[in-house]
Amino acid sequence: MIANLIAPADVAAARRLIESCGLSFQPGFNDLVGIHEEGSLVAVGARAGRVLKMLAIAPAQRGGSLLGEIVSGLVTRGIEAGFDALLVFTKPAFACSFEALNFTLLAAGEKAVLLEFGNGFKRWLAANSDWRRAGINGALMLNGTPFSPGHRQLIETAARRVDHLYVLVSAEDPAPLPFPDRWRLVGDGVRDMANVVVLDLAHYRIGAASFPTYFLKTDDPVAQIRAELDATLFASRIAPFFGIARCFAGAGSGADDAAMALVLQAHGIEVSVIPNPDCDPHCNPPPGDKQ
Amino acid sequence: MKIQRKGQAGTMQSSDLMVIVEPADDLVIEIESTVKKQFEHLIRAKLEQVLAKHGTEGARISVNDRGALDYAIEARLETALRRAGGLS
Repeated sequence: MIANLIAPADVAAARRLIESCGLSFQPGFNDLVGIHEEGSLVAVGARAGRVLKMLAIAPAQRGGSLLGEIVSGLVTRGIEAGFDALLVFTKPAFACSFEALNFTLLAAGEKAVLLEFGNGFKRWLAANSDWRRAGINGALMLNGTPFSPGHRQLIETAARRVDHLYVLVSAEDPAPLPFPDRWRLVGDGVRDMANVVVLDLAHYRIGAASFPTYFLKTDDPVAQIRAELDATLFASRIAPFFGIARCFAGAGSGADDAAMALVLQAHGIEVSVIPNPDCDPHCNPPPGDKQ
Repeated sequence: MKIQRKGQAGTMQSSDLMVIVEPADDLVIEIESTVKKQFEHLIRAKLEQVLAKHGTEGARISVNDRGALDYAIEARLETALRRAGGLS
């Protein structure tokens, strides 16, 4: 029987089980559920928005049906909350446990994998298929700052070098402005440019806010692991769909951006840095950000 | 009958399936299954038979199956339809 864990004693027991499995307890969730056997907690899991996290099964109980029960309970709650697809970030070794539950592997990195339950990604591609353009296309990630003349210059320069340029935005970007406002500003800013398409990556951009770190060690380079996973998802699943062969970055890239550039290049995507002295310092290389 | 809201039934346990029914313009069936290669056509046939029996139209039926037998497919789909307001 799946129970919601709300009482402080239950939450404390959940924390003990999670930590005994070598994971860390990460506050910030909508649901925390568990299964008890003979009075003790043997399985837990949590959901934060569309992301499932902190799934832990007591060692003696593994290999049975507990993971399926916990995931069923969390997915049911997530769908009731209005999410049509649920994501899970976990260690690569656990990918197959989730694939056995009909999760789809979206991206695999060295230390983290992303899987999805439901056909959310397929539906996202289908919903954006009108924006596919033939040719050698490019991409440029804009983050959350208001649209500036520096952005405009960067987009103009990039757009001249490719057949079509996708300007990527996402509500997952760390941003001072609400997403609908940014979406409108960017759209207005490039309206007169015939070969520029503004594309909303939605939650298929892996942002720092939604990337859970419960399965990583405290000394793991979290920002780099997230950036690499984000770049892998983009390069292996999104770029091929839109014919994106080149990514543009503003000058002044950080260490995580270099890690992302390596991933992009490994997938055959060319990374071009546009030197632009007037560029707004917040112009970011695709598809990452600075931590 | 027309589907009025989202409804779901079932679990991800072995030999069970999870069915999600949502309003849509056309009738669409999406199947994920651990035995998709072998049995997708049979699962689809069963779903279509139950949908025809209830005259369901305008719905997206998403099925996540882990090797459920026919009667489980029928029961889970009917429950999801009922919860979605698509069963009289």
